[in-house]
Amino acid sequence: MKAVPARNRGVNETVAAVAIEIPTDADVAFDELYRRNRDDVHAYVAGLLRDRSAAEDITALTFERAYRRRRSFNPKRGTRRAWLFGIARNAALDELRRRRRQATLLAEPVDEAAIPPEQGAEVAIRRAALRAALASLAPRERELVALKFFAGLTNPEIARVIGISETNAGTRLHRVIKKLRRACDEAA
Amino acid sequence: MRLHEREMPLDPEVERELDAIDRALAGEPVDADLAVLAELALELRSERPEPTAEIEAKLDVLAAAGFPPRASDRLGRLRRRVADASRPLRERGARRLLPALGAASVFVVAIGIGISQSGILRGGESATQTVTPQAEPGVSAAGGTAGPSGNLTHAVRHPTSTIQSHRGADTISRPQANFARSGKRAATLGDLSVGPNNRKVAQNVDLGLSTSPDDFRDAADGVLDVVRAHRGFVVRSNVSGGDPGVSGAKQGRADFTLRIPAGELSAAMGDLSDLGHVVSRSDGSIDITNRFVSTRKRIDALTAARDRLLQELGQAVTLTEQQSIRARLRIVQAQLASAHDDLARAQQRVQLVPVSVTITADSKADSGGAWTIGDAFHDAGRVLTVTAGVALVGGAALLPFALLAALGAAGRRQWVRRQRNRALDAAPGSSPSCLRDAGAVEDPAVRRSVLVGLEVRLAGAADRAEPVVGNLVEGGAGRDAAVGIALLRVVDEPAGGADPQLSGLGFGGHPAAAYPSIGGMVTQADERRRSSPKPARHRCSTGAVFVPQAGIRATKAGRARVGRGWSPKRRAAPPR
Repeated sequence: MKAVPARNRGVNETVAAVAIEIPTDADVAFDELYRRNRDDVHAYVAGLLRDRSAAEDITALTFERAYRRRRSFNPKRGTRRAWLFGIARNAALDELRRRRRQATLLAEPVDEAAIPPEQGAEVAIRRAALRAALASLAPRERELVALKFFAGLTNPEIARVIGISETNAGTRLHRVIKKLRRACDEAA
Repeated sequence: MRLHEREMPLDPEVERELDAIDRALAGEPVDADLAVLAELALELRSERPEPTAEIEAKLDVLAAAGFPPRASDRLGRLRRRVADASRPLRERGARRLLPALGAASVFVVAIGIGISQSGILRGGESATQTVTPQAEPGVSAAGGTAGPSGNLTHAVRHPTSTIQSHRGADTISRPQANFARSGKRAATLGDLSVGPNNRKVAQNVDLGLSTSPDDFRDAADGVLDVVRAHRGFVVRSNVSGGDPGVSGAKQGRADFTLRIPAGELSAAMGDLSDLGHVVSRSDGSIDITNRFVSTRKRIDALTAARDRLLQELGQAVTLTEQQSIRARLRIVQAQLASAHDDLARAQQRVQLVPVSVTITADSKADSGGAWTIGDAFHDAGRVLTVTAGVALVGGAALLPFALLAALGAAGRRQWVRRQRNRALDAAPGSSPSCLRDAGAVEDPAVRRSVLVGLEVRLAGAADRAEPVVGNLVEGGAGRDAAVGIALLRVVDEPAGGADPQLSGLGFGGHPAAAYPSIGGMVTQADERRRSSPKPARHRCSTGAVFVPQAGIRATKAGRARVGRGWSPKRRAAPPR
């Protein structure tokens, strides 16, 4: 092997040291994934669990698992976002499984102060009706709402996360919207 | 493996509405007739739970730390430590080499096993060595003797034994039976011929050698040289074929019957073994001490008899008497000579060991010289053969376990998936909408029976408690006058509104397994019933009427329905 000239040795070592500190592509991609999806994941989990304190833990757990398996992500099997929400879904369902063995809070009480008084009584009534309609949804329907409107996933991504076809996801989503509309109309 | 479903196109109107929702969420204008839908979508979006600043800060701290495992997750922390320790290697690309390193290590292990099993390091070619010590009749193999002398305390220690030996691999238990590698070192069995001082052991050795055709003649000549060098002699020899100068000569074979002095046997066998590959070797020994002892006793007796006869002959006075003594003397002397001959033969049998040597010319045998490239190819072939065999056997042994592990992993995955779906179905908010409309709230303190949901399979005991498909057809109300016969003659009263909708049959029943149980539900009507003497009645959308009963919660009915042996009709129903 050709010997490195003495005058270049220090330079080479410095370059090598810098190269080690550079994050890998997976790290960079994960960092971006976190920044873009932190709030979405939290919103989805909170919507599914209806428990903000648990949502915080599950969100952290989701990113912990995703960070641990960030190199195992396969782009051929879907987008990185769908992969992340799949992890979040599993973590949330595990939490629900754990809760089945324990008596826990069913749902958080409605924060009345969340509705600004300046929006008026009509808006407040509409909001209340919508929340009541949301509360009446079955968990699977509520999950669809959380994925679509809270997390902002597209229909193909929802289909990938839940494990159903895209058409099926669209049909189910339309059915839920219809149900919510009917409930809101009746309340109005 | 999932099968790809055949995608059916969405209804155009549904697709249009979904598209409008997407446009509304994206802030784009929608058609006027879908404005309400867009507004609903935006309102739903506004219901999105936002993380508080505190939660955001916590998550950001965790993100900055690389989402460390929680304190309770010991496995995760250990995994993280290992990952941190191996990070420099990963950064240098060592991770990519892991599969290759793993395969190489497996290959090295397999080769090591193959070499150890092939015996190349120990000499390779296997040979059969048989050591057959034999006791003379009358001497027990265990070491005692039944002979007439009675003063022998032990005889041959090792009964007949056959030892399979590889090239040079000496597996014989006796240190004297040291088998040479590739026939280069002698198998020394010298001690076998030298027993204790008072023992007489007769030995015999059969040796099979193989040589290459080119070395056959030299080996045959070498036998004679060895015999001469060790002061032995050839009893019989037969050498045929194997002449390298004659084309088409048949395969060479040589048979020798030799006599080697017992003291030279070890050295002679070593030299003979050097002449070619030792294919087989058989060593035998016979303890003939008894034969010596009896012959000597016979000689002593005959000598004494002869002396006595000679003495009598000197004292004989008559001619007849002298002739009689001389006749007896001749007989005794003949017997004495015969006894001396026996003793001499026995001595010779002990001192000159018969050795049978067979040499065959084998084209596959090497010359017994230095390790050549041919030997290397041969050994490599053996290593590969044994390695493949070891890998095959190992794979065959591990295959069932691997299949079981794969099945277990797949089963566990399926089980976890099912549990997750069940957890979602059983999540809060999954109770019947009719009860929610009636103001029912779930009481977490009330636990469901594990049999809830299995009522149809346990039909009979579950009569009327929670009407499902299997319980629809009821014989009648019995003595209990029906407060309201809901549908299909189901007396719904004891169930306390368990399933008034019966939505599963279009107008009625539902499949039990899919229907969520109402165990643990307490209706507001229960509370009203407590404060009111008149039972409240609820009518659901299907027209089914149920009466919540004070003090009898649905959970009690749920427990009652699985208890065989008493009628829920009579005990679960409260007095009116």
